[in-house]
Amino acid sequence: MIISHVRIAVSGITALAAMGVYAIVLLFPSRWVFFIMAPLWCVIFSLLVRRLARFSGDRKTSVGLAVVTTIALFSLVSIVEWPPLLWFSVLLSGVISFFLVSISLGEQSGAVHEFKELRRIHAMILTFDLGAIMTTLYAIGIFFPQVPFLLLSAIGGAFFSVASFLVWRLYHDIHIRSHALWILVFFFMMSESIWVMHLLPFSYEISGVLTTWLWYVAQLLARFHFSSQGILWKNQYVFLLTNILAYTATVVFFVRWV
Amino acid sequence: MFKKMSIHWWVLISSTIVLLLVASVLTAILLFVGKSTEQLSYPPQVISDEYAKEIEALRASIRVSEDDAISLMNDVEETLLRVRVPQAALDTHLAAVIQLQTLKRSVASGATQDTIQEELLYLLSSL
Repeated sequence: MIISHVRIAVSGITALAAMGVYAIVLLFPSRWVFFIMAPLWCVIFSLLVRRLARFSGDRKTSVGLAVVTTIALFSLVSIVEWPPLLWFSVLLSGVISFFLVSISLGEQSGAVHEFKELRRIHAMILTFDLGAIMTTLYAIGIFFPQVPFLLLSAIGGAFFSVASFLVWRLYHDIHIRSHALWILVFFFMMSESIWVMHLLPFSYEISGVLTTWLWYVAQLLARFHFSSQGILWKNQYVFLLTNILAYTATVVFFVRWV
Repeated sequence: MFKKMSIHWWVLISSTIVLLLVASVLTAILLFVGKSTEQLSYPPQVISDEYAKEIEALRASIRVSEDDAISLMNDVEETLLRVRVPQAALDTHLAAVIQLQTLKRSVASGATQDTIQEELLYLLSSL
């Protein structure tokens, strides 16, 4: 049994190490530093989570989440320009790393009120990750027009489909084989949405947020579909209508068209 | 907003149409394709079989276990809370969980290791 002060100490040390790594990338802005530190930390962090996740059970989901989160955080520090926000991102990377390690070290709980909250934290971190990754992909599309956007759409679609699977796995006992078709559907659906979104006159941050918003609603409905009750459409009408109105209002009234 | 727009109307309209098409395809899939996986992966018979297997494994591990009473009860509690319960066994399962809580309290009043082991096996025999 992992006692709580050991858990806090390990999580804290990892969080400090993560902040150190992201700070080094910021303090020494060179391609070499970035392309050495990013994969190195991604491997170290995911191996650490893989080892620690032995105590809490679902290793695949934990490692998947660790890899996607590391990519997202590196993406974030590479595209944010405003210095205070950059250092906030470093702090955020520490907080997220702390949570990921702490969750991995925790015992698997049978109590509904505990695992429901952990699932929500996982799903929230994944949604944040995807927002950051999509923003980066749109930024690459704008700053490096020589990179074919079709490739970026496919990479984005792959991230969305993997993340959908990771979220669904938190709620249902599913496997890649049984849900390969769903993963493929989400891959094509999101790749197409990313392609369409890049044609619209929005900044890369807004495009990232808007695409992630579409994915969030879509994967949520698919998740409900996998449950024994299926989608209770009567309950979802208000949710869907609110989202459609909020999405349209955001695009028309709040977003600056460039 | 619209006066400064840097794209043509047709891009905006066709993009909206594509997004709507994607949404329609997803809606059609959700409405008409496939049964829920929960039912496919977990028909009642599979749930009953897995439940029986888990409870039997638990009984076997208690019989041979040399752990202290608290660890034993924690193991039993963990399994009872985790396992997927068949519809027909819901009431007895719930009763067993409640009995387990009573048993946990009895440790404080000095129940011995052997007594606890026997009580746990008796409790599981009803499942």
